[in-house]
Amino acid sequence: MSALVHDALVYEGTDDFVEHLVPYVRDALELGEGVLVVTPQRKESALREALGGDAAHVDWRDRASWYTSPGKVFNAWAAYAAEHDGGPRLRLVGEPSWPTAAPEAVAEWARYEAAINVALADMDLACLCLYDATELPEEIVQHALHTHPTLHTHGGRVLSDGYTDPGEVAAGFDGLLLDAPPHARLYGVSADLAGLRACTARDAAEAGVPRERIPELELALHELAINALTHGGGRATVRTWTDGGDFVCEIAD
Amino acid sequence: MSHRFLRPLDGLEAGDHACLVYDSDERRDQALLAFLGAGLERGERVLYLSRGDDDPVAAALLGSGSPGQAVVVPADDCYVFDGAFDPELALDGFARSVEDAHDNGFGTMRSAGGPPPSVTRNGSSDLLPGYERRAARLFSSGKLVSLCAYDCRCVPQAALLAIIDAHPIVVYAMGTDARLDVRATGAGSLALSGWLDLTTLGGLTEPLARAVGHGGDVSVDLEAVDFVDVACLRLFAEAAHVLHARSRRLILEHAPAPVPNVLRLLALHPEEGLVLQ
Repeated sequence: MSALVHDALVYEGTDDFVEHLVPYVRDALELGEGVLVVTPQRKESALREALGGDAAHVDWRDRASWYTSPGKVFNAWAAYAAEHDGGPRLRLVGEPSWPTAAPEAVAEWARYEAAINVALADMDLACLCLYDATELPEEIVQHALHTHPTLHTHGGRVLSDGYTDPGEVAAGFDGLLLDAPPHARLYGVSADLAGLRACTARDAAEAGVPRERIPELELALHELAINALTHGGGRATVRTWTDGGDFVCEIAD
Repeated sequence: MSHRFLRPLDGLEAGDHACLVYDSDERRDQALLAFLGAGLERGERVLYLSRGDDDPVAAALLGSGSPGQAVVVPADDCYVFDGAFDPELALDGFARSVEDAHDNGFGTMRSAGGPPPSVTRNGSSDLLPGYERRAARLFSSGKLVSLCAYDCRCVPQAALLAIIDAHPIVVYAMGTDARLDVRATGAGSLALSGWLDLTTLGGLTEPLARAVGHGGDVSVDLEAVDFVDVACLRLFAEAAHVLHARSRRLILEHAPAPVPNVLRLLALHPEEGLVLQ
């Protein structure tokens, strides 16, 4: 049985947030558990005030520097848990900083929420993910219901009817990937990584990518190619093409 | 995995699972003798997986140390069972060797060697990364230290990258590489040209370790380098960390454009001894 508890709390503004969080935090402190809270400054201040002296027993982190990218947040949670390994059980309370404009960016964060169920499954942790329904689009609140097995409500913890297998959630966003057109250039990934870098740099330059951006593209592609060679069984392909004003470079293994 | 590349061979200790990547038998033998010799001096059980007859490492070990301290076994006998590589049987054999060393009064077993050509040349290389990852469990007891030797001329590149990835410590015994030129311009300074990535950094680790050992700041001129990947930046960060502990610095001169950004992303700050000029 999984030791991970991964709950979502969908709440309505700061007052509702405080109403939920004060008993949640106090319950943890009474049980001797550690609590880390990463939430917007305004809400953190309200929660600190409501907790009074108990706020000193809670660990707080700056949300802007915590929620930088999905991959980094994984590492941050795992590193925090590792630092406290052997200590009391932990409750991690976090409010991701959702991008609302680009669908690809929203998908990345939703994938992150789904992947937590798998990646941290063996960790003895309680994660409470916060969603402010007064600020977030309905689509993102719906993601919360799909990516969290259980929900916090005023009536207590309930199973999420909408919970979906993490693999299905991730696959659901595949439609956002661009399809390579027939004229895309195709390269095999082999030990000749310098050759691959040179080919894609040439394609990028021909597509009008500014000269100063090309080294960044080469580095990103190289790291993906190394990863594909190392973990993808040594078989991977790269395609490059232009899509409107964008230069697209796709690596698949 | 985040590797360490600069650990000296005689500094490897019980619990370390290290990989040696080599490109000549001479360099391999020299590295393994240094590693195994340190074990003999420390009173550890030394197990060598020989590559067959006429193996100078086996010849040097036989008769060394106290009675029963050095054991030489043909690599084929450790990896190949009924004509095929069997990772689980190989790991069981290692576990039994550690127990045997313990039963004979040796607190630590030090093993070195690698799969024979019958494994690396017959298409079984793809099984080696998984084998090495599973081997990690043998090291948690702190009774075993191993240097797993891989010939980069025999193991396909993708398998070699995955094998390297499976080891927390990587040591290179490599000669010059046409893709990367490393020139010592002083006791603590190097000038590089070509490109620096996970496939070429094997030519840099030894000169860099020598420069780090000279006692002062170390400078590396990258003006003629057109590409630096994250693995190499981690190598520089490791060197900077070692230098910082001695109140010295690593100075990277003329680093290509993405380097400052990537160092920032990896949170490798100047106060850790790494300076860009």
